[in-house]
Amino acid sequence: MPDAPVEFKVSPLLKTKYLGRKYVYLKSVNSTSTYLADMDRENAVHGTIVAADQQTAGRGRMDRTWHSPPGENLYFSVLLLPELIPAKAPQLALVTAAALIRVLKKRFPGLYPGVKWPNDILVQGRKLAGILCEMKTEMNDIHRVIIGIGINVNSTIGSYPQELRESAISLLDATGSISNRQELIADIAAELENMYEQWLKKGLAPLIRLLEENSAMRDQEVIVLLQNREIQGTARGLSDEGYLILETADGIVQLPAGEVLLTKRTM
Amino acid sequence: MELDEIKNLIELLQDTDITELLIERDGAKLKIKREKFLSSFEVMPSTPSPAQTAAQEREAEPAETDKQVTITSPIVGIFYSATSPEAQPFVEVGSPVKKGQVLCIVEAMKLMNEIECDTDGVIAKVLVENGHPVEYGEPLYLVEPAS
Repeated sequence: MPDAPVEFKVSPLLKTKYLGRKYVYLKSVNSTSTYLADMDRENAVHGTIVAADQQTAGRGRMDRTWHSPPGENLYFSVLLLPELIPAKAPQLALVTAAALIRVLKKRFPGLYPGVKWPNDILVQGRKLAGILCEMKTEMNDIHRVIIGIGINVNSTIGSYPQELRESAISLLDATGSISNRQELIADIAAELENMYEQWLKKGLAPLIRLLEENSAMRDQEVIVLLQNREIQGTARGLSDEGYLILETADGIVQLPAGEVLLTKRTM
Repeated sequence: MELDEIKNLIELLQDTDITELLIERDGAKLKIKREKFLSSFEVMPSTPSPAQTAAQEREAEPAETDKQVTITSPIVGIFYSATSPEAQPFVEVGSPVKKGQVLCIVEAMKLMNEIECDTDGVIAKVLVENGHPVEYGEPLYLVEPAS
């Protein structure tokens, strides 16, 4: 594939200080996040990116899979070693979502990507990209954070497994054009580094507006699934901490976790 | 009962595990109920102040013996004892554990926080049920350290 995100093509495009300066490209791997987690400490420096043309066991939350065929899409993971208390780190899913939104809007005017809190990017109500953050901590120290990102770039709906045809979309499906994966990953690395730095200095507050203005669920009826219950309400934006504000029949609640189901399509 | 008194009671409850309180006095009844998940998340800042951190550290010591080590949650979220509902738990009571071994996952905003053990030993107690919400500093496991 001419646009595979190989190191010698992506490196010259990078406009970053550290993100992606250590860059590993793999033709095929079980999961870029798993590979990054298994890299030894000398090699896995802050900002390391592992990208693959194909994942044989791309992961979602709770052992779910991320469909990762070769030659078409972006699958990559970013290693961060923040000197922070762990309590703040969950906001990184939102920081990453904000970076993806900004890059997609800049590159694809008219695409209208939206965030389904906290970690999915939807277009026309279907999943274009997913983010999975994994952190290791011991006591109150962060050992590492790995941000896994999967973006459906040049796949077509017809090639998706049956069960994803209703729920997934690619940039090709949405725009009708093939996108260059090397340029896209370089843009994302730059924006992610930029927003990460901003977040370290100023916290989430400056990003809340971007996230709310580009929400895939603002003022919509949603159901939030928790392990043993579900909560129904209207999505009313995000708290300063990035928690989902939900207006329910019993009042306003703020949720730090849970899986959001949109009850109405945003199409 | 005065409004201030009720407010004080509610505030008092917020720092405890008490979910229901019934007070009868002078023929008046007051029942305060709080649902752990929602109320605790509403009041829990995700970034604790130094004072809170100190308070949490003091609280987080329900060790049954002086030797036992308490593993606490560094974030507000949902506790998972396994990688998925179908999977075997990482550890159970009696499991031998090593320093650095993953004991559980706490999830917040789709960040999966793998919590490592900070000592060699044996799991003496699992303090939270799979799928339940946990607060910052909440004890998750007691570990009997290897002697």
